[in-house]
This record gives sequence, structure tokens and C-alpha cells, in this order.
Amino acid sequence: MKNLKPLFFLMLIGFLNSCSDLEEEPFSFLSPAQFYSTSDDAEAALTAAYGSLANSGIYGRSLWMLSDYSADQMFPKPVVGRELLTIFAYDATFDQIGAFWNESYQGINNANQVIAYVPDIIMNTTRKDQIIAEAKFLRALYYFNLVRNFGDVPLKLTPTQDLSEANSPKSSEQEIYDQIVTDLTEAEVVLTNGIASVKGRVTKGAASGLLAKVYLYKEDWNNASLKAEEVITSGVYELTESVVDLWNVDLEDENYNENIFAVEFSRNANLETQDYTSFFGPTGSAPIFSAAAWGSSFAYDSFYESYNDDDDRKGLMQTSFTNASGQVFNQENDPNLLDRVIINKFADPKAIGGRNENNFPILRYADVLLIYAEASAQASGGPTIASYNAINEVRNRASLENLTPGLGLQAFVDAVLQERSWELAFEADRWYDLTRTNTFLEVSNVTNSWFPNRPVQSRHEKFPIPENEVISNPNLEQNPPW
Amino acid sequence: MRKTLMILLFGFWITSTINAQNKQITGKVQDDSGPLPGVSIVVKGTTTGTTTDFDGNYEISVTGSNSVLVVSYIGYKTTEVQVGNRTNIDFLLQVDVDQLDEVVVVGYGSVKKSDLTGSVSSVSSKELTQTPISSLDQGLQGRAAGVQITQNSGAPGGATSIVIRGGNSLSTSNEPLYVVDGLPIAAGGSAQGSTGLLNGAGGSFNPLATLNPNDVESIEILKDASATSIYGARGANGVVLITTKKGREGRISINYNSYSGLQEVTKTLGLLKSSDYLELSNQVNPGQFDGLNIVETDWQDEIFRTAPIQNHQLSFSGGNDKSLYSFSVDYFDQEGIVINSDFERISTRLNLESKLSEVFKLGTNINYNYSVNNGTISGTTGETDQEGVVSSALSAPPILPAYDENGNTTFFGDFNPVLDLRSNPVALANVLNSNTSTRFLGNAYIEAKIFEGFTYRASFGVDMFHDRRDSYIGQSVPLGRNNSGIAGIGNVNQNSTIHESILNYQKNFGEAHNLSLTGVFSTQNFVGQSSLASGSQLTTDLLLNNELSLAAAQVIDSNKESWRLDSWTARANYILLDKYLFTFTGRADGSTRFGENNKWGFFPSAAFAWKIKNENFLLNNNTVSDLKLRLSYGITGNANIPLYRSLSRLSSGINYNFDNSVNIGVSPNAIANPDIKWERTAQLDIGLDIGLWNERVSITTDYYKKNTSDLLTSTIIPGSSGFSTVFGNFGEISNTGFELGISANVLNKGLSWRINGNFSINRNEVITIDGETDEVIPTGDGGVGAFANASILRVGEPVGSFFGYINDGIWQTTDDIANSHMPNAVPGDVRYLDFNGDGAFTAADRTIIGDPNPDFIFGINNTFNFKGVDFSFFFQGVQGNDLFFQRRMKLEDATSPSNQLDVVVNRWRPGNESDRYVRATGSGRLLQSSNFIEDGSFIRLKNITLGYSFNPDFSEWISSLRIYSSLNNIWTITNYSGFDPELNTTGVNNVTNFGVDRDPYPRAKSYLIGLQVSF
Repeated sequence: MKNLKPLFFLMLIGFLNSCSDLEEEPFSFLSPAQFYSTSDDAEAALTAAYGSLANSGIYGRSLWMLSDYSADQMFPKPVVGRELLTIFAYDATFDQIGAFWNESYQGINNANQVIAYVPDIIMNTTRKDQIIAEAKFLRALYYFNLVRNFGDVPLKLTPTQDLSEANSPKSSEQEIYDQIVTDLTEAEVVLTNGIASVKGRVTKGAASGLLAKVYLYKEDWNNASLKAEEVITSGVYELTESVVDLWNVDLEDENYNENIFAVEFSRNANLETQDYTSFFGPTGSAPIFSAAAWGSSFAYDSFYESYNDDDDRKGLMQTSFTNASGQVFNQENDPNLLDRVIINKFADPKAIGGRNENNFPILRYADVLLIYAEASAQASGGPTIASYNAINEVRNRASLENLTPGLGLQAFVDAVLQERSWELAFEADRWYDLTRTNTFLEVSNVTNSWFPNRPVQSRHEKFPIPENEVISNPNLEQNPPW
Repeated sequence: MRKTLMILLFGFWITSTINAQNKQITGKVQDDSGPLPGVSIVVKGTTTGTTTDFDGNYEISVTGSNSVLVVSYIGYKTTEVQVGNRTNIDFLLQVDVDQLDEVVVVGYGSVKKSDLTGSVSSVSSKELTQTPISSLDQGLQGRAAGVQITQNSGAPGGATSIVIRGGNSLSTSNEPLYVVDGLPIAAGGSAQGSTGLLNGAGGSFNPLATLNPNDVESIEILKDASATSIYGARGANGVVLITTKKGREGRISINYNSYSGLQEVTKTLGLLKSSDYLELSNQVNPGQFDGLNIVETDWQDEIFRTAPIQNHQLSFSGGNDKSLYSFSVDYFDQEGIVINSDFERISTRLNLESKLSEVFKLGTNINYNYSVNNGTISGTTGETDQEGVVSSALSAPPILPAYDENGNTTFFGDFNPVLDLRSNPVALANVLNSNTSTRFLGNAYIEAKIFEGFTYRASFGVDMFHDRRDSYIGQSVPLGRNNSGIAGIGNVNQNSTIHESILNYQKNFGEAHNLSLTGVFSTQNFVGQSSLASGSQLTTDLLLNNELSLAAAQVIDSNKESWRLDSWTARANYILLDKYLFTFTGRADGSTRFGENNKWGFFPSAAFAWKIKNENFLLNNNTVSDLKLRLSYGITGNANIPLYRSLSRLSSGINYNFDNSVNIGVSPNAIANPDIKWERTAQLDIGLDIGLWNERVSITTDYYKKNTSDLLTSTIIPGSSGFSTVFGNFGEISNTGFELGISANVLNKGLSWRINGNFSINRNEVITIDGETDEVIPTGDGGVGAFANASILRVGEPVGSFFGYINDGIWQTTDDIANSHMPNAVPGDVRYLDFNGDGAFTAADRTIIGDPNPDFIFGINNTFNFKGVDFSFFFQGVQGNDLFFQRRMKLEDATSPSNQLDVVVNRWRPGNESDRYVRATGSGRLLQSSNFIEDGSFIRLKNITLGYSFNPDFSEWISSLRIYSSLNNIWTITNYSGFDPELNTTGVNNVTNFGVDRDPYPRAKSYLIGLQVSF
């Protein structure tokens, strides 16, 4: 047996190989235990909390689809199911609803990571507090969108660590709004005043302005008007002089004076981008509106016609276009343009393929002015001079005359709501104005040859909770009308 | 052949006397019907050997009267004769009816076929390489019962999906474990392409294609638990054991095998001609192409070609009593029938075994391959700007020319901006998309005979795989033009090392008891690294992807991963009275892939076989020459769990732009599941082996029932947690089936005629999905015009069932429409059935509209031999499966500017109220409906070969010479309207879109001539 010795060495080599345990060794991803320890980690975690805003489930696509395709300004090309929104034929399985829900909560979970773990990181405390405040603003924004679309929803304020924490019950709309107010109030005192020195960051003005809007939805007119006034009197913001310049994609960097907070997109490779701009260019129009022109979103004729001809904002739409070879296409000669008005508000003629530059506005100074006009009028039982000044500032910028003086409360509020529709068109805002004022059923009158029938019902005020959430979460029930 | 080897070795030991006198022996070898050419005659224990000539005559020199001649010929019993004083010895060979004594390779050893307790199919190299194949998985098609092989596309080097006894898995691989000369292949996979190159798996390249099929001696497919549980956590999908050719004792044998031929597309589709195209276009968008110079281009003609294929192999083998060697070098070159697609491979193999002493034996198997695959771009999403080469040839406007006056490909957008996103198919075919792979597969072993019957074998193996993908999408296609060129270099490096220690013990206890024991320890390590460097916005097309720093926008990506598998295995075979056979196997596998709560799995099996033939009542029965009953039950696993799935993971990817530059965000992307483990398959197998009339007919049948639980699937969890799914062991499916294999020597006098056939049935059912839902409705519709997924998972239904609306004709009048369930319809639109009868047309009206699982599959091979002439033909078929021709949704939606099938001239219009083809519309999107489900049954004449073996008398140095000609895929009976019914566009393991035709690469038929010479 002596000559077998070498064999035992061979066996030994084999066994030694297996002496280490069977732990999986990660190389290309991080585990939570390794992370949240430096200021860079804190910034990266915060970046992801912002990043969800740009996802296709939120401002990248689904959020504005859910609201704007339901409302009375814009309609989709009747393909791939988006028309279900316009004809109110969706149900809880509709993919855009699920995407919006999941990605909103993903954003909340990302923000919760920051709020839970960053306090223990040893770093510059000023920046640390700001990071946490930014995360609270973002959490509030995600919840504000959820509550506006669904009503009662689960309220998650801590990171989900394991499966046992996955089944959260609903909290009431009231509780959600209270938390939003708490988060924004806490953020507001920490965040810096002034236009963000780092473009894209949340500021004090954004927190106060969003708080004003939240109070408006709560019909807390006093606070809404107070917070809007704070933003107005801060002196930080002003309206961009020309509507055309405001929406000129090349001037985005100059427009932070009005764009208080927006989702940042870029056409450049490597940067986060959006393809919604490509929805607006009619087939064959590239590259006027975008290098990719899908002809997937158009304005109703009735909305286009509702503008005064003097209104500069009417120029953000057009009924014909001239293609690269000089051919003119209009509603008469192009069946693709029949009963369709082209929206050029978000055009990016320098787009690279479906990669577009246009930021998506979340809060504009014009919005704050209109919030102030409405809330101050409501709070005072009728419009004040300041209420008039606020709405007129917006009207004048669009080359419109001052609003008829001496309106009663209701007439004034109606005028503000109409102004909001014109000013904030296609900015994922109109549908929520209609639902908060309980006038959304009127969209059934807004039809055309593409959508002759829009059978909206009272249950469409809020969207159904996504089917997957209802199935997998035993602690949660579907919204009652659904 | 192994048998011959063993006899030769044995012969060496018993031959002790060597006589020094040389003498010449001559004689003739024949069987009942006449002389046998090419019979091997070897002087036992020496390297001296010869073969008989065309008339069966031989001449050999021996050293003395004690010399023993060993005469062997495939299909005949090997005969030995001591020379004695004779100088003329004739042999009458007996047909070897006792094929049961063939040795079959099983996991970690081999057994006599007659002693098998498990279900194992063997495929010989002769069958495997009957048709020209780029990859050995293709050669298995139709050869073994219970094995369904689908060539995903007709592209050279294209991937194949192999499913043994029905799919066990929903989310992980259904591919069997491949073991080459004892080395489990772990590596393989295509490198990433740059942005815009869809890695449509159906068109992707096949890692098995790096092995040279001509090197293979035999393939054994292990199917039941008795056979596969020795591979434990990797055995559930079945195991394919590949044994390569080894040297044999005797003088050097030099073989040259070669074939070459031509391939052509089997079928083209009928499309609208220019005039009909224009008529449709003017109906949709009047005047759209006014002013254009209209031509008539047949785009299929432009991209298809007659393509050559060739293979050359040179091999040397031989050996003596101490050492055996085999060396081969092979060159394979297949041009694709689509322009600019091809596959080229150079491979070498060296197998050596050397006896160091009576105790030690050393050996090595080394294989090195180099291959280059120029692939066509395949488009699987259905979006206009992402069509593949073939689908763009179907949709391209026939009115436009392929080339401009300078001979460059035209750009469609230059003719009309509406065509901006459409590729000129010829330009798209010329996009650079090439994979260059090398694989080194090496195994070294030492074997020691510790004492009689007890051996130890230590082996060390390595599988090194590298693939580089080069891509460049230039300005000639829209994607490249919009991005000013997209260039990429992707790399994959995978290394797997394995050590195995195998103990074998075999002993007979008296006449009645035979025991053999096997114990194995093995550990396998895998490290995989991949990277991609790509860029767009290049200043010039000229340098392709060779100077990436020209790219203004650059994207880089890298990934590294590893796993380890440690295993302890034991097997006991016990044979009682040569009648009752018992096999017990157990394997414990510990894997890094498993969650921390389930690091080790145990996989036992037990089998019993009863050789009824050896019972007294059958011993003397002349009709029944073999009868064996087999029973087995056992547990196996599927550990192809994607790596790191049990861990909670943070990843980058949710980034954000601050100050117009990207900031990297890090966030949770998966919730931990420490319970993740293997998928568990419990399989029962009952088999019967029957031999009749002296094994002229042999039949193998098996019934099996497999139940796979702990299926790895993603299950939905509440999205309010911040995660929408968790990956874990939730589902359960079952497969039940029946297999029949028959081989018969119909004639064996003079003219011999042999039939081999197999037939398999498998039924598959989803038992549970994730415990939460009863069905998973296919998702998709992500982009404009993108194809949705086609298959639903529903409890009680087969995996992969197609889901959609039921087509109920065409709306004819507005009166029909008013008050119907589709009030917004227009006459000429598709009428879908209100399936749930609620009066409204909604997503709830979708139902199961087809089943891609066949009722049965079969293969039949007929071989005839007469004198030197051989003739064979091979049919393969699939019956009763449905296919979903998704691409057709785009080819008959009567819209413009996509070209349409020629039948669209019959579209609905006032005065021609078709009930089949919709009216012309601008946006004509058709829904996934029963209209696109077609019967996928086919019978294919895969191969006809006619060969002639010459009498090698004319030359001193040629020992055999055969020429042949073969025709492949020349005849297919099918009702399928697409290119070919054998397809799987969306990928190798995709159970959610199996049998979906999105971007077909048509199959080639081929005409070959070949030459086989031995020296």
C-alpha cells in the first residue's frame, strides 16, 4: 500500500477546497450590512429616493397617463390599452395603475432607508440633516400622489427589512395627509432657501409650495394661502417672462426661477432620460418634436378651442406640421391628425432617438400663484386684491387681460380652476383639480371621433388598488367602489 | 466498442507466451449471406491488425502458433481463434443478438446494459452525425424517446432547447446537465451586446456548439430517478453523458471524414407586391408615396442565399498494451442562408491513457475549441425600429430599392420620413454582430487498483470558456443613424474547476450475489466575469468597434459571480441470482446558491429490476429472448437557481440627474429569502425491456410520473412593501408520460434492413403556482406595438398555454355593432368573442386559446445495407402542438407602411366583405387572438443518405473508403403557415413564450456529399 501515498495527497487537495463554508460571496452588488456607513452612502441612498420619480411608473409615464388621459385635455392613440383610461374601461389589473403603485412605494422605501439609516452615519451634520429633510420631502410627494389617486393607502414609514413586514393595512386619507404635512413641515425648516445651487435638488420653496398645495387639497384654505404667500413673499421665484421661453427645452437651466421643482431628464447617454416627449410628435414628424415621433398623445380640439386666440399658451399646441421634406400635414390632409391637436409643450428637436431632455414640472411658481389666488379667496370668503394680483400675474404673462374684477367667490374660484387648466395643461394636474372639486363627471362631455363615448362614473374618482396588492396583502381591502 | 477494448486488455493479461516465428495467415470472413468487408482482425496483445477487403479476404502476419486472432465487426459477435498450425483460417461471424452485453455509461461508472435498473437512452456517434450538425444537441433530435429537442431557429450555431420528459421548471433552466467525459459543463453563455442589439435568445449562440460532434463516441441520456439521482441537485432535468472517442489497442488508425454541400431556404412567405402594397398604402394614407420611383423588390430574395457548408476532420488513434491515444482536429464552416450569417469552428481533442504499473493508470482528455459566429440580429419585441433581419424583410416596403446607384444600401427614411424607423433588411443583415468563443475542456485523472475489485480514481477537471461579442450598428440603419453609431465589445470569462474522488468496489459472493459500491466526493467551483464596453455617437462608421474612444457617449458595465457545489455520493448495486437487481443511490449536495436555512439537500433513489427472462419458465422460450421489468423511484433537484437570490441586495440603477450629470443611486432591489433551495422532483418510473426472436426486435417502454414541487418562481408580494415580488420555492407541476423505443432487424440476410423508432407522450399540468394566485396572466404591451407575452400559467392547465381573445370574424355592418359588446367598432374591424358574456368587451374576455405542448413526438430511422451500398432515411415528427404566429399579427393588420402577407389583398372593404381579413386602417393593431394560433404538427424527412463503401483492394494503404450523399430537411409535412413549424423564438428556457413565432430564421434544407477514408 506504500505506493498509494500520493493518492492521499490528492484526496487532501480535494477536501481542502471544500473546507470553507458555503456562504455566497457577493462581488457585484452590495449587501445592506456593508452599506449606509459613509456620507457617500447617504448621498447614493438619497439619489435613489429621487430616482424613483423619473421611473416610467411615475413621472416617466404612468402618473401623467393615469391623470391626463382621464381628464379633458389630452387623449392617447387608441393602442396598447392606454385608451382604457380615456374610456374608463380599466380595472384593478390595469398595468399603469400597478406600475404607479409599486414604483411609488419603491420610492417611499428608498426614502425610508435614508430616514432610518442616515442618522447613524458619522458625517457633516448640516448635510446630514438636509439629506434627511430631502428624503422627507420626497416621501411626502410620493404619498401625496398616492393619496390623490387612491385615497386610503398603506402608510409605511420604516424600511421593509423582511417578508414579515410586507403586509401593511390601509391608513385613512386623513392619516396620510397628516403625515405628509408633518414630513413637509419638518423638511421646510431644514432645507435652504433660494434656488437650488445643485440643479434638481429640493429646496425650502419646494417644501413650502408643496405644503400649500397639500393644504389646498385638504381645503385648509388658511394654511394653503399662508404657505403660498410665504413662497411668493420669499422673493426667490418669479414667472419666466415668455411662455415660449419657459417651455424652450434649451432654456431649462434659466427657468429654475419659475420651475421650483421638476423631475430632471436628459437626452444625453448615461443620464436619466424620458421618452414621453416622443408621444407628442405625430408619425412622420421627426425630428421636429423628437427624434422618435410615435403620435401617441394629442389634445382635444375642444381644449384647444377653449383658449383665447391671444393666449400665448395656445401656441403650445398646433394643428399642422411641416415635415423635413417640406410637406404640410394638417387635420384635413392627414388622417393621423383628424380631430387631433399636436402638443408641442414638451418638444425636444435635439432628442437622440427616444431620449429626450425635457424635465417634467412638479411645482411651478405659476401653480403657487394660482394656489394662492384660490385659497386666499376661499379663506376670505371672496377674492382679495392679492387674489386678483396672483391670477392676473399668470394671465398677463400669457398676454391675457386681467380677469374681470368684482367676481363673487364661486365665479372667481371657477376662473382660477379654468386658469389652472390652461396654465398647467398636460402637467398631470387637471384630473386632480376635477376630482377634488368633484366635477370629474363632466369629462363625459369631452369627446371626439376617436373617443365618442366616455362613460365616466362616480367610482372613477379614485383608481382601484392594484390587483396584485389586493391578492397578496391579506390586511388590505380593495377600494369599496371597485 | 468499450467491450472490444476490455477484451483486448483482458487478452493482454492472459497471453503469456510469445513465439518468435513469423508466419502469414490468410482467410475469408463472412456471415450467412456472404463475405464481410471491413472486418477488423487483430493479433491479440499486439498492435498488429488488418481489415478484410471487399471480398472478405484478409492477410495477417503472426509471430507463432500461440497467437490468437480476434475478429470483430460491429453488429457481430467477436470471435477469437488460436492460430495453431493453420495458415488459412476462415471465419463465419454470427450476428450479435446479445446486444444486451453492451456497456452503458452511467454516472460515475458504467454497467452492462442488461444490468441497468434505470431508464437510459443511448445514441451512437453514427446516429448523432448522420445529419450535418453544428452542435451535438441538434444531432439528438428524434433519436431518443422522451427527449424533445427544438432548434430555436435555423441560424448557424443557433441555440436549441432540450427538454427531457417534460419541463420541470418555470423560472430556471429546463436544460439537462451535460457531462463530458465525467466533467459537468458549467460554463457557457453569450457575451452581452451593445445597446440596441436584442439578445433574442432564439437567435443567440449556443455554448454546446463549441463541442465537435464528430469527437463523440456515444451519448447516454439518463432519464429516471434511478439514473439521475446520482447527480443530486442537478439531476432533475435529466443528464446527458457525452463520451468522446478513445484510442484502441492496435496499429495506428488514421481517419479522414469530410462533407460539403449547399443549403437553401425551405420556404418563403407570400407578400404584397408593389402594386398591391401601394393600393393599401393609398387607402391608409392617400398619396403617401406619390412621386417616388417605384421598384419591385423581393426582400426575401435580397437576404436569403444559397449557402455552402463543409466539415473536415482528421483523426489518429491507436495504442498498445501500455498506452492508448486518440487525437483529432476538425474544421466546420457553415454559411447561413441569411446573408452575413455564418458559423465557423476549429476544434482539437486529445485523449490519452497510460498504464504506469499494475496499480496505477493515468489519463487525460483535452479539448480545445475556437468558434466564430456571425449572427443576424433577431428582433423579438415587435417594435418597428427593433425588427430583426428576417422580420424586417417581411415588413419592408417592396416599392423601395435595396441599393442606391452607388451600390450602397438605401436608407428608407430618405424616401419618406414615415419610414424613419424602418431598417433596410440588407443593411440590417450587414450589421456587425459576432461572437468569438474559445473553450478549453480538460480533465486529468489517476486511477489506482488498491486491491482486486477496489479502485480509487481522482480526477481534476477544468472548463474554461471565453466569449467575445463584437458589435457595430452603423449609420445605415435607423438605430445607428439616430445614435450616430453604436459600438460594443462584450466579454464573458467563465472558469469552472472540479475535483472528484471516486471509489469503486465490486465483488461476487459466490454464484448468487454480485455487489458493487460506488462512493464519490466532488467539489466544483465556478467563477464568471462579464464586461461590456459600448458607446454611441461616434464620429465615423469606418473604425467599427475597434476604437471605442471615438464614442461621445460611453457605457461600461461589469459583473462577477461565483458558486460552489460540494457533494457526497454513494451508490450500491446488488444483483441476486442474475435475476433480481437492486440499486440504491444517495447524494448530498451543498451549494452556495441555496439560502442559509437550506444549505444541504439530500437526494435518494431506489430501483429494482427483475430479469424475468432468467426465470426458469422463460429460459428456454425461443420467442422471448429478453424480458426485464424495471421500477424506480427517487428524488432529484434542480439547483439552477439564479445566483445570490437568497440574499437581500442593494444595487445601483435608480439614478438621478443633479446639475445635468448622473448621480448613482443605491437602493434595495431584492428582499431576502433565506429559505431558497433546489426544486424538488420526485419521479416514479416503470419500465419494461422486451427482446423477441433472438433480439431481432427489441422494445423498451417506460411510464413515468414526475412531480416537481418547491418550484422556483417569483411570487407577488404587496407592492406597498417597496418590493413587488420575492423569489422563492412556491410552485408545483407534474409531468406524466409514456415512452416507447423499438429497434428491429427486419431483414438481415444479404440485404439488411434495420428500423429504429421512438415515440413519446408527455402530459404536463400546473398544480400550484405560488399558493396565492390561480393564474399568472401574461404581461407585456410595454411599448407601442410591442408583442405581449403569450402564455398563461393557470392551475390545472399545461405550462405555456396561450392566452388571448377568441376571434369571431369581422364586423360587417353598423347595425351589428350597435348594441353589441364592442360599440366602438367599425365595420371591417375584428369581432372578438364576448367570452364571459357580460355584454362588454374587456380584458376579461381572454381565455386559453392554445397549447404548445405536443400530443406526442416521434422519430423513425430506416437503414438498409446491401453489399457495399448503404441507404437510410430518418423521419422526425411532432404532433398536436399549437404555435402562436405572433409575427403574423403585424403581417395582416392591413396597415401601412409595413408590408403585408399577400392574402391581405382580400381584406374587408365595402363590396368585398371579408370575414377573415380586417379593413385597412392607419393604426391597425390586432389583439392576441385565436386567429394567430396554428397547428404546429409536422413530420419532417430530416435525412436521406445514400452511401457506397468501395472495395479497398485497389490501394495498399487505404483500409476503408466510403462516399455518400445526403439530403436534409428536404420534405416537411405541416399546415403551419410560417417558415417552419419548429421554432422557439424567444429563447431556450422560456416557458412563458414557448412556441411563439416572432422573428423566425427559416430552416435550411441541404444537399451534401461526403467522403470517409481510413488508412
